[in-house]
Amino acid sequence: MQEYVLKIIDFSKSHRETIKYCNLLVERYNENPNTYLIIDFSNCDFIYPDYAILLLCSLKYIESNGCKITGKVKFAPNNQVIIYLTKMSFFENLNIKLPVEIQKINPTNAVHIQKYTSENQLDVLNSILKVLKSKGSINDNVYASLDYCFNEILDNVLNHTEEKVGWVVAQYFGNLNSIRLIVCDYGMGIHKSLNLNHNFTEEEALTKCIESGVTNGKGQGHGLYATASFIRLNKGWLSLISGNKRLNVSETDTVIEDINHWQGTCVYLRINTNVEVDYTEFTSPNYDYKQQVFENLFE
Amino acid sequence: MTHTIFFKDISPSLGTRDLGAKIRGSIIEKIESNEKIYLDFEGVGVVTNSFANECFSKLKDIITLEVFRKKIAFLNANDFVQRVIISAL
Repeated sequence: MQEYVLKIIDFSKSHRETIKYCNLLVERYNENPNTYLIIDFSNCDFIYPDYAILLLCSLKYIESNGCKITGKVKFAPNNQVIIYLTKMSFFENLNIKLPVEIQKINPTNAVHIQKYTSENQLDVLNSILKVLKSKGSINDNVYASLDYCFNEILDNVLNHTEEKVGWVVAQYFGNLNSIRLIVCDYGMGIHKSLNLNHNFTEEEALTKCIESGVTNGKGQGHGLYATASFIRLNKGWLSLISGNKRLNVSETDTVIEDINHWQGTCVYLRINTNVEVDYTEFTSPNYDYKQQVFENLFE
Repeated sequence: MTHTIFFKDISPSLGTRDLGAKIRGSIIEKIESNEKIYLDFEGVGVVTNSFANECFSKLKDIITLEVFRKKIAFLNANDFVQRVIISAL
């Protein structure tokens, strides 16, 4: 059995680097399903949870292809990344038992790494909202907008993939007034999903999926449009990663770029909790002309 | 006879298509035997477009706009919820 060493210090520099190493790992198992994996945390003292969940999702993908992953985790005593990832349920989700006893993460600061399906989707959403709610400084409109967008993103994954399973993690960084959230899956990806109803190139698929009304036929094409609109207003950041492309959305730019292959979809959000947002800008398509017709139904 | 559905007992956040479809089914079950169905959103902060489309827009298409107007009434919807529902109808 040949060894393959994954050095987390190299892996955890950026989403681009993380996906490059995840891709190499998947290719490695495609070539040699009997690989002995060594996940090496040496010299690594920090990792964002979104990098870790990409690794976890890749390992789950490899397993879904019929490979049984064996190996070991290499780390020094009291390694801070190991402690953090244990708190975030990273190893628990991989069924790895480490000889460390650590309390779980404070549920008002972070949502630990979790798998979600239609059965626990509401619980997952409520755990994310609990983190937000505990932060009294979050503006009410931002809170409502986040509730709306997270709902749409979680539902998107379940409705637009064949697997009906996704992975999610979120962390609030108080000093930065910001939340990082990532949802990922190893499903069919945005290009293949949209082409159930369109004939887009991969680049067109990622660019158009944030436009209003662009859908694979199963929804209304509103979830990613609303999320991208919210991010622009919030001066935050959205990355959509799928196949060989990444779409980055910020207040001033929407940029598509090449990236190593990702076997599904990742939606990454960085949100400013102290930047106010007018939700009427993205929650209410068609509101103006329908208001007169339907508002008498509301008492 | 009237029937009221209290959405806060279901969830303070209404987001999924599956849930929307489930509630639509329970409204349809009650619509024949009731003159009015009240949909009470007291305590609900957010409804998503996906939920509203699956629940209310499809309900309107199934029971016809005329019956929808006659039998459905929305109570205690905040501005956010009202905007999303009206947009989806």
